[in-house]
Amino acid sequence: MTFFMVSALVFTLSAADAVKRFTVGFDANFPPYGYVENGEYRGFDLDLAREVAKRNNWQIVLKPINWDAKDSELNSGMIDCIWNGFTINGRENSYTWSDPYVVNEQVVIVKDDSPLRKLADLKGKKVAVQTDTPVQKALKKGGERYDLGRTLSELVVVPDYNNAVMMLEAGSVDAIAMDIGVAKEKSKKGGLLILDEIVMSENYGIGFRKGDTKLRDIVQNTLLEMIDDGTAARISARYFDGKNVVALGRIKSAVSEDANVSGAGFWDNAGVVTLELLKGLLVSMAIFFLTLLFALPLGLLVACFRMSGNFLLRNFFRIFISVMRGTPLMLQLLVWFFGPYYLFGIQLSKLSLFGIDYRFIAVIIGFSLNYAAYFAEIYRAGISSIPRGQYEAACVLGYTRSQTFFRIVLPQVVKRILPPVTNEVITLVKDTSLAFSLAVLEMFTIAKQIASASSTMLPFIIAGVFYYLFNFIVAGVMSAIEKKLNYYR
Amino acid sequence: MSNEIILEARDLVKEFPALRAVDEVSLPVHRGEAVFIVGPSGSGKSTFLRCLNMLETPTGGEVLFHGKAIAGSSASINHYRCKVGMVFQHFNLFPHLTILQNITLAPVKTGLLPEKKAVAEAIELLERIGLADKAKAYPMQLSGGQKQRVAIVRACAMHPEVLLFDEPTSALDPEMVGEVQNLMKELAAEGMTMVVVTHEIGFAAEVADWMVFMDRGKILETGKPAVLMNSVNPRIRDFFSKVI
Ligand SMILES: Nc1ncnc2c1ncn2[C@@H]1O[C@H](COP(=O)(O)OP(=O)(O)OP(=O)(O)O)[C@@H](O)[C@H]1O
Ligand SMILES: [Mg+2]
Repeated sequence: MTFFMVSALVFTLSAADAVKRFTVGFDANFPPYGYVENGEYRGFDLDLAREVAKRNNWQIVLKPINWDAKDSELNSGMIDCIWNGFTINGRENSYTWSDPYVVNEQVVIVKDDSPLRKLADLKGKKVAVQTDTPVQKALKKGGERYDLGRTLSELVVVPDYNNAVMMLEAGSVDAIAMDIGVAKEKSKKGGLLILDEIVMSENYGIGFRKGDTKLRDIVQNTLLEMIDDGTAARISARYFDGKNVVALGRIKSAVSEDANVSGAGFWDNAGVVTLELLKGLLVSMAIFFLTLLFALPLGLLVACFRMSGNFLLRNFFRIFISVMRGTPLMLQLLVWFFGPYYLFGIQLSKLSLFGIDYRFIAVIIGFSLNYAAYFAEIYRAGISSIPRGQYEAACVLGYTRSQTFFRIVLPQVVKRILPPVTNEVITLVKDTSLAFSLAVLEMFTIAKQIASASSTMLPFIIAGVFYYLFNFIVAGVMSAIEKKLNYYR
Repeated sequence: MSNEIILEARDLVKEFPALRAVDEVSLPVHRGEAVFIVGPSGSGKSTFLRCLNMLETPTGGEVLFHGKAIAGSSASINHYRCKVGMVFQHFNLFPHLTILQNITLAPVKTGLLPEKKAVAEAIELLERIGLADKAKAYPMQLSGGQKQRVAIVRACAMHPEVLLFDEPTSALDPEMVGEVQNLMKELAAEGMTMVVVTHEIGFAAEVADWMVFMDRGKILETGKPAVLMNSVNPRIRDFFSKVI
């Protein structure tokens, strides 16, 4: 009996020992370093990682991660390293780094029919950058290329490069600043031009858990072997054509291992973060109030059409409601935003109204129509719950149809639908964060940006508190209204 | 009682997809009369009553008001409805309005009376039924009998020429039936023209000028209560033997 248990234990241990797993975290939306093709993970970095694993007799596990959660993934041990065209500059102290193995340039792409040819031409223009990329940080206030960044009319922070390229094509931004590897990939399909002048250059390295020098050294030595015997160059040739794109070689690291961690105290930091988030909160509140302003009356109108005696009207709005409720709001936002360009060829920059960017307008349109559909169904349920006797009593007293509706039915409907409306309104507070998909800088977008830039959860916690407080007030107001309407049953 | 016919149904028909609820019914109502309609359940009494004020649109025949057929535009139907009040089995007071507002809203909205006058009249009506102190209350604070009396007063506030009642006491607890019936008796005594559907045969016999017996969508017989209740028609005899 004991014998079996011991042998089973030994077996398990030796099985675990036999093949070490090497788990590489990467962003699967980052060609040519890591991406999905025909259902498989491909990319320069992933091929390098596979080769390193092979040479060490490790079993490789490729784990696509949510870029915003990369630190939690690494620190919790879900992944062993981040290997993903991962820029060292600006993150020197956050990870245990390998030596840089790629020197990468940050460049600007424009449409090839654009008159912009030099960085100086970008003055007064809108330039898109991906959220939490080195070039975003560099162009921001306090960044190393703020001299360029300050000349722009706006730095538009987008969730991903596809989004940025769509915006460029649609005319909503004038240029995109990005990694040259990605820029080459994107410009392959034509119509885009990479400016000769570069914004800056940066080093790519492999990021390990802070202090995990043991694994770092093994991986780094294997990588150096691969560079020396030409394997790395062959892998590079699969993904990059121009030889000056990637300078692969032994580059002395500027990384100092024992640089001390950021000196700012938690509470100093909290103050700055809170201030940033409050700015975002204003935008979130604007989305919230404008949506209610439009969606509440619009919903009533939609409900009336939905119950109309006219076959076409009734069914049109039945379908409208079903589409609005049956598809993700984020998708609808993209459609409202990009639709005018892709369907009608309208340059989105021309759609701004009173100086309000079309991105914000598209968010309000998307939210209002989506919530109008939800409100419409609530109104409809409320209206059909009013007993027929109320209509008949109003009718025999000589009320017209509109008097009956506005004086008798609607006041009773309002009271009945208050609880479901409260639910929707509270959901709306949280849904405002979806404006992120159109790069509108509301609170959650800003929280994400600060969080990934500073590798802390603090902004999320503060944002969470704000959302909670906002909802606390909303719920309070709604229950006060409910109380006020409690004078009858 | 005059000979003037205020309201008249001529060959009135109401067909539902599955059945003929009202089958060529003719009935004249003279000024000041109280006409009570009785008959077995499902015989079409309510449907007939509701056709009289166009809550149900008749599928045949016509309703005449002062000799003129009611039809056509919803405006003229609306105008007619202001002249013909109705009291429902379930009161149908507006729960979000005070008792006073329930009574005054319609005369003011339809332009019958200016607000001040409407309020004064409403208070007077409420005093008459002993509910003046409830003017500011909401319907939920009233008993069933009080609600129905308010509903009757609400109909009266429109200065109707005819009042229709559909089983006004059948949703009430027994001890509240009396107060509502007393109010109706008073109205009848004052000469209000009334058409009442009821199962309270005793009350009908006491108040009715004419009693109408309906069965399967048709009027079988019309007569003074004492005559009708001693009818030779076996169906009618059978009905009264069961309900009394
Ligand atoms: N809207 C409707 N659609 C179809 N059939 C109906 C409708 N309203 C009433 N009916 C039918 O018409 C017939 C007459 O109904 P009505 O309510 O007029 O009878 P009633 O004499 O008032 O009966 P009760 O004494 O039970 O109130 C019944 O068979 C009823 O089912
Ligand atoms: Mg009935």
